[in-house]
Amino acid sequence: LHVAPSRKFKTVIVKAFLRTDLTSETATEVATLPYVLRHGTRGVPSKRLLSQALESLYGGSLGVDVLKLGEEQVITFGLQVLGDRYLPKGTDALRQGLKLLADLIQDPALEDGAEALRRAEVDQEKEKLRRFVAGLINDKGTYAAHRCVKTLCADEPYGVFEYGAVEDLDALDGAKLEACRRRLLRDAELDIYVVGPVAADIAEELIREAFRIERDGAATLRGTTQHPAPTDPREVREAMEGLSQSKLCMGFRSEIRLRDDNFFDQLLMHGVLGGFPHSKLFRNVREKAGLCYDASSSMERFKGLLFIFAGIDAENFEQTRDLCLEQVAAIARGEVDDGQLTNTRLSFRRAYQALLDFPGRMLNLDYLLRLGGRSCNPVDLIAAVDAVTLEGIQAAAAQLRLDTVYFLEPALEPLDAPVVQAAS
Amino acid sequence: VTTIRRSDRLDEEVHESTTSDGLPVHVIPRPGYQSKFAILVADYGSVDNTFVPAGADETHTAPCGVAHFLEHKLFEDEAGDVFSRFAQHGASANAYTYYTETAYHFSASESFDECLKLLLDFVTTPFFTEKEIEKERKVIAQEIGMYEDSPDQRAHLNLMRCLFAAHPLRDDIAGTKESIELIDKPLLELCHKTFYRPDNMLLVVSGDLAPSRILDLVEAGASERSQRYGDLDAPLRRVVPAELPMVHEARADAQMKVALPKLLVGYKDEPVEHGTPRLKRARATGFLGELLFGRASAFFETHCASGLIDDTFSYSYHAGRSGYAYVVLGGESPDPEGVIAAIEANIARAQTEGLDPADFARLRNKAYGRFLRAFNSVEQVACGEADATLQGWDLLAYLDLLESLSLDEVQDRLAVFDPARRAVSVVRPI
Repeated sequence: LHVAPSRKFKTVIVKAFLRTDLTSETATEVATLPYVLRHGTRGVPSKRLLSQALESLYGGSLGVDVLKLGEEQVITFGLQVLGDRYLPKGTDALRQGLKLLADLIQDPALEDGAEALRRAEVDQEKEKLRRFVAGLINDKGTYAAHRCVKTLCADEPYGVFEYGAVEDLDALDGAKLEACRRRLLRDAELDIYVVGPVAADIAEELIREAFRIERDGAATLRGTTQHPAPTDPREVREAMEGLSQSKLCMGFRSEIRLRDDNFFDQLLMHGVLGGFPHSKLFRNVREKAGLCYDASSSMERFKGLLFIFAGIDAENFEQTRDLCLEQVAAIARGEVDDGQLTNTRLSFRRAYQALLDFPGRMLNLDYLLRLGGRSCNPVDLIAAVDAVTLEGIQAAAAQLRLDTVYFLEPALEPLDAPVVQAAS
Repeated sequence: VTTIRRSDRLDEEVHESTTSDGLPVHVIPRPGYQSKFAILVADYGSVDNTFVPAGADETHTAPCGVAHFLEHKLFEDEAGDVFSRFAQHGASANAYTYYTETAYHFSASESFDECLKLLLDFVTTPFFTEKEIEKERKVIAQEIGMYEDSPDQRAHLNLMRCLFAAHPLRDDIAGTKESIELIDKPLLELCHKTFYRPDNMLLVVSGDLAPSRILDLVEAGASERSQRYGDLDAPLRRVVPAELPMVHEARADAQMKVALPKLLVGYKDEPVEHGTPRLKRARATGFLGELLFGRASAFFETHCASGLIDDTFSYSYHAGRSGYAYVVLGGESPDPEGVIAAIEANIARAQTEGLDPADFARLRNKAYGRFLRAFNSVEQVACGEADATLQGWDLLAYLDLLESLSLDEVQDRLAVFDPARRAVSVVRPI
C-alpha cells in the first residue's frame, strides 16, 4: 500500500495493480478477466447499476486496464472520486467508491451456485476482445508497432500480446476466469496506491476496511529475459490495401534496463534521438528533410528495447530508414550539440519537477520505477539526469543493435484476398 | 484595471486585464503546483476561410487548411526553430488548430517569464520564407495522409459533408493535399495580419504565480508588439456562407481497411446565440444524449449485451461560432442499419414516455464532479478558461448554470432528433 496525500487536488485516485508472468498460456484469460469483473459485484451486479452508483457519487469513475511491463502482464483497477471538501456533508464517496473497487476484485457477481463468472458477461467480453484484436488494423500506426513487436520477439514472452490471442477465446469460460481470479489474488503481486486530498491514516484505514484479501508471502515471478539481436537485421514488409501513408517501425535491442546503473544514459540518449520536438529525428527527418509528420523514438524499460517510428511516403522507405539509422550512429560518434543535450536534460527535469502536479502520472511512474528497484523522488530523478555525460549517451547509442525493420506500405493493386491477416 | 472573478465553491479565481496593445490576459493562480502553463489563442480557425481583408471591399476566400498551415509556420522564426528554444528553458510547447480557434501553449516549471515572452513574440511575428514553406507543405501532406488512413476521420468528414451544404465544416481542418498546394507566402501573411490581432486573441496563464507580476510582464512587451499589428481600427469582417436548415445529403458510404463497420449518425441543429444561451443549449442537449444513450442507459446495456454496439459507442453535441450545431452519435457495429433502427426506436420511446427525474438528478451530480475534476490540472483549467472566454461564458459560473437547468429544458431538446435533419455516415470494411 502506497499513500501520497496532497490537498491541492480536487479528487482522490486509488489504483490497484495485479502483476503476473506474461505467458501465451495465460495471457488471454488474464486480459479478459478485468473486463468481465467490470460488469459488477455481488452487491451491484450489472454495469448499468455500477454506472448509476458512480453517477450518484458525483461522477466517480472505475476503470480497468491491461499492461505489458517487460515480460510481465499487469491488470489494473482504478477509482477516482471527489475529495470530501467538494461534496455535501456525509456523502462518504471515498468509502463507497472503495467498496465498489474492492468488490470488483474480491466479491464478483457469480453464476448461481457455481464457482464461475457469469456466462452472458463472459461471452460479451470475449466478443469484444475478438473485435478489439481485429480492430488493430484501424489505427495504422498502432498496427505497425504491434506487428514490429510480434516479429522482433516472435519466440520470446515479450512477443505475447498483452490482450491475448483470439484462438484461445473459444476455450475460455466463466469457471476458468473465476479460477484465474482466485489464482491471481493468491499468487500475483498486488500494489494499491492512494493519491489526493485524504490523510494517510484515514486512507489506510479505509483501504483495510474495503479490501479483505488474505495473502501469504510475496509472489514469485519469473522476471524478464533478454535476447541478442540477430547478426543481420530482419526486414519485414507488409502491403495493405487503400493505405495513404506508409508506416516505418524499427526495433532495436539494448542491454540497458531500468534496473541497470546506466539506465539514465539510455534515457537521455532516447531523449536526444527522438523523445521530443527538439530531438534529432524530429529535427532532421521531419524538419530538415520534410519526409514525415511524425518521427520519434520510444523506449521499453524492462526488456531493453527501443523503437523508432515514422509515417512516410512508400517511395521514401530506404531514405528514411537510412536517415533514422544515421541519427543513432551520429549519437554514438558523439555528434550531439550542446543545445540538444541541454534541452533534453531540461525536458526531463521539467517532467520530473511537474510530476507532483499529475496524480495519475505520478502513481504510474512510481509503480514502474519501483519494479525497476528505483524510487520516484523528483530530487533523485533530477540528480540522475544531471549526472549523465555525453560519453554515457554515446555508449548507450553504440550498444544498440538493430533487430527488425518493419514497413507497412500500400498494396500496388487491389488483391482478391486480404494481404494482412488480423494479428493475434 | 484588473478585475477578479472568484468562486468560493470551486475555491478558484481568475484575474483579468487587457494590456495597452489590446491583448486580453487572464491569470489563474494555482498555489502548490510546480508546473506553469500559458496558452495564447487566436479566435481564428478552419471555418474562417472567407473574410474581408483590411482596406479591401471584396471578400477573399482562402484555400482550406490555411489556418492550420499558419500554425505550423509560426513555429519557425528568424532565429530558427521555436520548439528548441522552449526546450532550452526546459519547457515543452505545442499548438493545435480547431474549427474556430488556433492555440499555442507551453508548460514550464523554471524560466517561465522567458517562455512567456517567447510565446507572445513568436505568435505575433510572422517569418515566412519560400523554402521553409515548401518544406512545411511536405510535412503537412504527410499529416493529411495520416488522417486519410483514419476511419474515424473519414466517417466524421463524410458526416460533415452530408450535414452541411456550404459551411466550411465540410473541409478537413488540415485541408487537402491539393488545397495546401495553393497556399503561399502572401496568403499566410494576409491571414496572419487579419486574424492575429490583439483584440482577436486571448492569453491565459495558470500556475503558482502572482497575477500582478504576470500582467506587468505581458504589458512590458506591449509597445513592441503593437509595431507588428496591421490596421486595428478596421473591424475584423468574416463571412460565413448561408446554410439551409436541412441536411445536404442523407447518407454517405465509404470503404476502408477496417475490421468492423463504423457508423456515425448526425442531426443538424439550428444555430444558437453566442455565449450563455449556446452553453445552456449544449449542456441540455448533452444531458439528453446521456439520458438516452449514456453508459447508465437501458439502451446502452441492452445493445451492448446483444453485441449490436460496444464501448466505442458515443454521443456528443457540438455548437460554435459561425453558426454550426449538430448532434453526433455512433460507433463500431457489425450491423449499422440495426443501430440506426435502435437509435430511432429509443428516441421514439423517450418522446412518448418522457425522461426520468431520478436519472437526471444523478447525471447532474456526475456533471458537477467531472467539472471539478478538470481543476486538478493547471493545463485543463487554463484551456477551459480560454474556451469559455472565446465562447462567451464564465467558467466559474458553470456550476450555477448546471443547477439552473431543468428537466423540462432537457426534454424540450428532443426536438433536435428530427428525422428530416438526420444524416448517416458509414465506413465499411473493404
